[in-house]
Amino acid sequence: MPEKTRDELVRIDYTPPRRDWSDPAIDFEARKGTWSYPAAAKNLRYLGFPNPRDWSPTDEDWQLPENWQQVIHDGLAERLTKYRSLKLFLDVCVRCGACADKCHFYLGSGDPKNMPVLRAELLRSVYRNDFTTAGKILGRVAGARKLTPAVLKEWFYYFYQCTECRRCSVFCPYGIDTAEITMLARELLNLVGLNINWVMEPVANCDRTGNHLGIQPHTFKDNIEFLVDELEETTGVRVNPSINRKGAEVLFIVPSADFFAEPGIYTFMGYLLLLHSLGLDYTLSAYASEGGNFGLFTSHDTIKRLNYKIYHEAKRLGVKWILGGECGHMWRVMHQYMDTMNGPADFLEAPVSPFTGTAFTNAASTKMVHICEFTADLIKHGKLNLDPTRNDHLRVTFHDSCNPARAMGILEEPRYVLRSVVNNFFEMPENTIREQTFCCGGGAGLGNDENMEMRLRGGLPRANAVRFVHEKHAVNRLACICAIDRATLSTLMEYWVPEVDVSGVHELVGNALVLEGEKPRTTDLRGKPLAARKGDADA
Amino acid sequence: MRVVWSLLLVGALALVGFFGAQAGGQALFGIVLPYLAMAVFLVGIAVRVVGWARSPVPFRITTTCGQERSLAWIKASPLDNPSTGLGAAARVLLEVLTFRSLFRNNRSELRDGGRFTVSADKWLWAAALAFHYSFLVVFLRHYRFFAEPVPAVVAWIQGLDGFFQVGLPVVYVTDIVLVVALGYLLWRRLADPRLRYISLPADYFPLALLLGIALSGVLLRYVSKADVVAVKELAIGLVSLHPTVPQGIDPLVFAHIFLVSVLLTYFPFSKLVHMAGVFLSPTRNLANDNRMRRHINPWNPPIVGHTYAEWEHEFHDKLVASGIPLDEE
Amino acid sequence: MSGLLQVLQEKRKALEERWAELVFATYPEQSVAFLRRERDRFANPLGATIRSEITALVEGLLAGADAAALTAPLDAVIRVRAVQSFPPAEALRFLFQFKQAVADVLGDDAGGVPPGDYFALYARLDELALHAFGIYVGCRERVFEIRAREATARTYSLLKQAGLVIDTDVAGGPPACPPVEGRS
Repeated sequence: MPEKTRDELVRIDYTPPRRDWSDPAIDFEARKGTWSYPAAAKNLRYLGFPNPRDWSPTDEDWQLPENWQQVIHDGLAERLTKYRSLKLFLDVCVRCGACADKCHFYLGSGDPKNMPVLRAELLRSVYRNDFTTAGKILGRVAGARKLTPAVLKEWFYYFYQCTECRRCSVFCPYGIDTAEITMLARELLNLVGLNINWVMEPVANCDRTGNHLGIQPHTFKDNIEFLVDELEETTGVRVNPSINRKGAEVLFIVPSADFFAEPGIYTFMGYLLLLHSLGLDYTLSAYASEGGNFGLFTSHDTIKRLNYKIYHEAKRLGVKWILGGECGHMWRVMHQYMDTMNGPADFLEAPVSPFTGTAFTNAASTKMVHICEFTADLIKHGKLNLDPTRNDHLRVTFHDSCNPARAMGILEEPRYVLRSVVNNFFEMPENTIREQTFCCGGGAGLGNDENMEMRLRGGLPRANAVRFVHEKHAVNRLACICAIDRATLSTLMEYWVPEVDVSGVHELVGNALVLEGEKPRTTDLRGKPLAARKGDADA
Repeated sequence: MRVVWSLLLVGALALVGFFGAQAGGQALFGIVLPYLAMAVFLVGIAVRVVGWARSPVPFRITTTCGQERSLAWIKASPLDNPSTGLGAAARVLLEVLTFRSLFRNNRSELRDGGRFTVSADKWLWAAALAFHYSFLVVFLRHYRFFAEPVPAVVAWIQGLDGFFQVGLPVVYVTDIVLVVALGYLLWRRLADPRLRYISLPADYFPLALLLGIALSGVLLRYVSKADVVAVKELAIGLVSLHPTVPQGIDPLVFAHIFLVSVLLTYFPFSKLVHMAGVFLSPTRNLANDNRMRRHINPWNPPIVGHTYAEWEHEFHDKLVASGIPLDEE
Repeated sequence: MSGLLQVLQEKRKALEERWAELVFATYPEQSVAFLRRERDRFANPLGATIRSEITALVEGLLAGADAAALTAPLDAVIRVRAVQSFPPAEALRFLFQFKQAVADVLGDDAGGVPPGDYFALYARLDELALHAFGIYVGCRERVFEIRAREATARTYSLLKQAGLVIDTDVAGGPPACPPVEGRS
């Protein structure tokens, strides 16, 4: 009897069936919540992209062009001659596995195809089949796969499950960058009309109106005036940003989410207060009102097409240099692509801070300065009147955004600014910050709501580290310098660590900044009451 | 299964060399195939490197792993985020010599009392480094077969390697390290289900082949104690382009040489080309000076975005109504 | 203390280990070894969460804690599994794997345990399962709530400007309205 009881309880087999990874089979129906909706035909038509149609990944037939295999083969051949990175990365991987447990999607899901090495192997196997001697002769023994419809579907699934965060690239002994592989794989997918709406709609909107939401210029202006009103209510100071003003010294470019989205608008308020207090001669642009560039998640040609507006507008307005707000992938583009693609910016001047005289020699060629560099320099020279106690209701940690950390290296500037404007600053564990920072799980166009479960999984490693500092140091504010982060980390926190809110660094600067003629502040920029201070009881 | 096939294949290849030489194929295995293999290796590697070099580097996509050079008073990371070509060169060199990125594989642990410590998961790094360096030393030690008199450096390396003076003939440390490291690298591919999942035959075969080469070499030195003078005559013949096959060479030598020939031939067609590729990796060998110096893309396509004029044309009335200045004002 | 609980107390480490193993086994085969082996809670948040919360659950179950008192560890595990590729039943299966873990660690000792002890322990587990059901539903609801909130947040300033959203934080709550009859 006891034996029987035990047997009845015990014999359940939990081991999933053994399958070779090269057998693709994605059941999109069963995996809802982990993929993004395809691009609407109207957006592809507007942009002149191939194969606009209405379709769903759950369809059996994805309505690919007749010769789709040839299109992809030719596209890959072309890119192999254009990008040494691609060719090299496809050739030299030794599958050592160092990257395997570095991907947030793998850590949060356990799905082995989310290991960076396998994500790249999805493309690499087809490359071997089509382009290498060994693959042509030995086939599967050499790890080669034919590009079948099932393989293509797998590409769509997993290359739109990479946030191009480059964390794996840090640990790879050959510097293989899965972001580069994903970018080029997405280019190939785009050739046959496999793209996601959360990328293509912002691309189309940015191209036409100047911002990712497709807000028209007059509404854009009303919106800024609305934020100015709100700011006056909180601070008693009326700031006066200008739009499309010729002859300003500086063109100020921010991610357009900072104009419209919560909590990005508070970061925008911070920028406005800072620039107002300095009296910087700057202008915003309604035409180039989007610093973010979803072209990065589409194709190199699209990056160039959208980024074109920045220098074009700087030249038209006759500014001297460009200041850029807090945004992750925007800065990947501004730092690593803009000058090469749309430069040289010889009509601009090498940026110099008019307040400290500091020449930003590191931006001598692109002529574009990150606002954290700008602000850190101001603080260092004592140009700002700061009252960090106005952030005493906050206990702050800092999330390094992927692109500024791993494609730029702006690590200390935001920390210096934060330490100057808040009294309670705490770092997350070492292997979750700086170049080892974990992605928010919603970058590279994946921050849409239909993909929510994948985002929450991918965000687990980041949230887990936040929860640690929340429990240890009672941290209640997660600062970052990325507009996508401000949106996606808010969501992440709401699910995993609801006690923590998310904000940009310059929102906290705005809280601390003492302005001439301001009224006594009782709330922060969000309208939340400040911490009680000594002496307040008398009032 | 993949690993079994790889091991069997290497075993079979060794037998081919062993019995092939005995069946009168000494010139084939001792002269023709080594020459052919060397030619394939050299041409093959050259073709690969030229192939990579012919594809341009359109963008400077450095992976930055430290603080950028920006404001004068902020300390930059010259190696992890180099802002100069020299820094980038040093970064690649350290990568090649010390496997720095693998070394980064650290992890933090929460110890008792909430104390936070960072320890390391460095087995892969250690084994990889042990394998590559002992292979290098073994490779250099073989120089004594190819040169007369033996260069002082080689003799010195040999002396150092046999420092412990154990056994007769003296046991080289690198022989042991090489076999152990290869064994570990093979074992971890089998023991970790994750690595087993990602490993291809192309991952097991080179390990098996290298193990075959190492073990046959160890057998030659310590067990069968092959006639070194004869082997040296063969080797010098090969490098002086006057090849001869002296009498009395152990057939195991031919097995050893044949496996090396297979390795040389296989090399350019396999992942082993990482040896050359690591120097060309654009995420590592470029300075992060993107905003200081313009990087040129040789095929920069002539793309013009949505122009201001087009934009103003579409929204003209709304711009006027909301008081946003137009271009001609 | 009953016989079963006593035996399990003695084998608590083994019970925790076994239970965690069974939960790990619900993940893809290739990842199980990593989940089990990597002890860094930041490098392996999933494995670390399962391990630490299972420990808390075992402690609670053996100590006779009631379901509500085990909300925190239960929530931590369910919150993760609610957004992984598990159908609802599979997401909560880990709780019932406790029974298997008990059977496994008892081994041949199972025969000597009075059946009543099993009933008592498993009745508590059932309570926990019912509680878990509520937590699971809460997590799923939260997912849909945040999807809705996100949609609003994206265009927050536009909606607010158009008078379409009310910021309760600032407005200090809704204006006073006449009392509703029948409500005290």
